[in-house]
Formats: sequence, structure tokens, C-alpha cells
Amino acid sequence: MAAATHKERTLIAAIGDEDTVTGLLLAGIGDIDIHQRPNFLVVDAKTTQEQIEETFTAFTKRKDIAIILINQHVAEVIRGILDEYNAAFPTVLEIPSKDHPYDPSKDSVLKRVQLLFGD
Amino acid sequence: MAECDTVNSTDKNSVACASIDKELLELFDVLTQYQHIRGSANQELKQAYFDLTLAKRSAGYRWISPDLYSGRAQAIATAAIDPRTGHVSIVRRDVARRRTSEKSSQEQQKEMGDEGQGRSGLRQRRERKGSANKDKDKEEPGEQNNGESDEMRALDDPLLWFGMLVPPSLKDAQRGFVTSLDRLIALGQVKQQLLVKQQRLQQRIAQTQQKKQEQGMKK
Repeated sequence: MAAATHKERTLIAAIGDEDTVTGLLLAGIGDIDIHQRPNFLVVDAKTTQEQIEETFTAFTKRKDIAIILINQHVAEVIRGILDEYNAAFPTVLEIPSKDHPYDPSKDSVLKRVQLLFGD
Repeated sequence: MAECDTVNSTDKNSVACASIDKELLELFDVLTQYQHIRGSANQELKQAYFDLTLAKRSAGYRWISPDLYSGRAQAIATAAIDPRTGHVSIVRRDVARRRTSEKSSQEQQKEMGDEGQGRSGLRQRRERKGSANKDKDKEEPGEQNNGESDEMRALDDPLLWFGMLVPPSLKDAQRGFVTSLDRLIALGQVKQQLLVKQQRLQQRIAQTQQKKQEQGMKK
């Protein structure tokens, strides 16, 4: 049953700033389905926390998304939801953006491993 | 771990501790792999962002913007999850600039047509009649091809959203993001492994702690 649902998960979604989304769309991940729902969200100064949360939740509920790529600085805005999210699919990966380089101390994967050792 | 440091540990306890150590070493191996892939992915992304900025600078900041994204985009790069192992791999559909190739073939036909118009004579006219019939034959299934050409347009190279003649730096950026995406997929794969190993280790530690408590209660 789970295997069948995983088979339908083919899309790579993106939530990030303009450069990140443009780059990932250039790589060919962009998809707009028959309901006109895109698999990406461009986050700018006008984008509210609620919009990011709604989009992230919608992506996690969609059955056709396998991976969600999210900028680390955007992930910080919805850290609460991200920390609660434990499902295997869609896999959430935090990526750096042009203006916000990768910070290992904010990486949720490394944080979980640190928790294991009681740090 | 702390539970394994007890001097009066029984044989069962030492076996449990050995398995915890093994799991821990495996976790460290996967963690090292994660950090290695993370480093290379970040490096690739950094270069890709640089190339994208160069492209924006040379072509104009408004020229490469979200307003130009195709409203009918279809994913060219997708993920495939192996139902048995859960292994994630990337699948790319070959779209290599079909619109350009379509256009070039149309241009070739047009050029041939222009050359033909310049010539005159019975032989040429016969050829034209023949070609006209061929064209008629082609037109009939052509109506069916409309849907196909629509699909082909939707599967265009995303580079074409930004025009026919894009700066080389944008092509470099695209190449960089494609490589980065490969690395990120690999990273996602390793992340899954890491989380599975972490959960397993946590369970082992909890089990060992529980056993130790039970032994303490008996004593």
C-alpha cells in the first residue's frame, strides 16, 4: 500500500527566494498540475509566515511530491512546523540561498543527531 | 554509551552494548557521508547562484524573473522512489530544446520553398504538384499533431522561457543547478538513512536502559 503511494510521488517541490526557485526551475523541477497548483513558492519580502506555512503544509499533504527543497532562512520562519514534521515522504531538505549561506547549527538533521547525544 | 561503562555488566548487557557501539559507528559513517555530500552540494549551488547573478547582470535584472515562468510547466526532472528499498533517484525527460529544432526544420522548409519559387519550368511544377499532394497528406494527420505539439511545447527546455538567445552564464547556471539537484537528491537519500539509523539507535539505548533498570530492581 505504502509502496504504491510512494510510486506516485515524483515531483520535487521548492520554497525559496527568487534566485533559488529560478535556478531549480531551470533544472526542470517546475510543474503546474491540472488544478493550476504550482509545486514552487517564491518567497519575498511581501510573503507572510502564514503563506509559507500554508504552502508547506499543502506540499506535505500532496500525494505527488517526493521531496521539498526549502531555503534554510525560510525554514527558520516555520521552524515549529518543520520540527514537528517527521514523515519519511515527502522528504524535507534545507538548502542555502545566495544571501544566506548554509549554517550547520541550524540544520534540522544535525540538530536531531546532537539531541541523541544530549548536546 | 554510559550504560555500557558499568563494571558489573552481564554477558547479555555487553552484547547489547556491542550492538549499540556498532549502530553508533554506522550512524557516524552515514553522518560523515551526509556532511560530505552537503559540502559538495553547497559548493555547486554557490557556483550556480554566481552564474545566475552574472546572467541577470548581463541580461538585465527584470529579464530573468518569476514573471517569465511558463504557466504550463511540466516537470522535466522528477524523483523516482523504489517501492522495495525506498531508494530515491532522479529521472530526467529528454526535451533538448525541441522548439528550436522545430523552428530550424520549419526554416529549412521555408528556405527550400523560397529556392523553389525562384525556379520555373515543367519539371519544377511537377515536383510542386507532388509536394502539394504530400503536403495535403501531411495536413490530415497534422490536426492530430496539434495536441502533440502542445505537449512538446509544454516540455520545452526552461531556458527558453527567458528567450531564444540566452547568455552563456544562464546556461552555466542551469548546468550548475542540474548538478546541485543530483547532489540534493543524494543528500535526501542519506538523510533518510541517517534518520532510520538514529531511530534504531534510540530504540536500542532505550531497551538497554530498561533492561538495566529491571536488573537493578531484581537486585
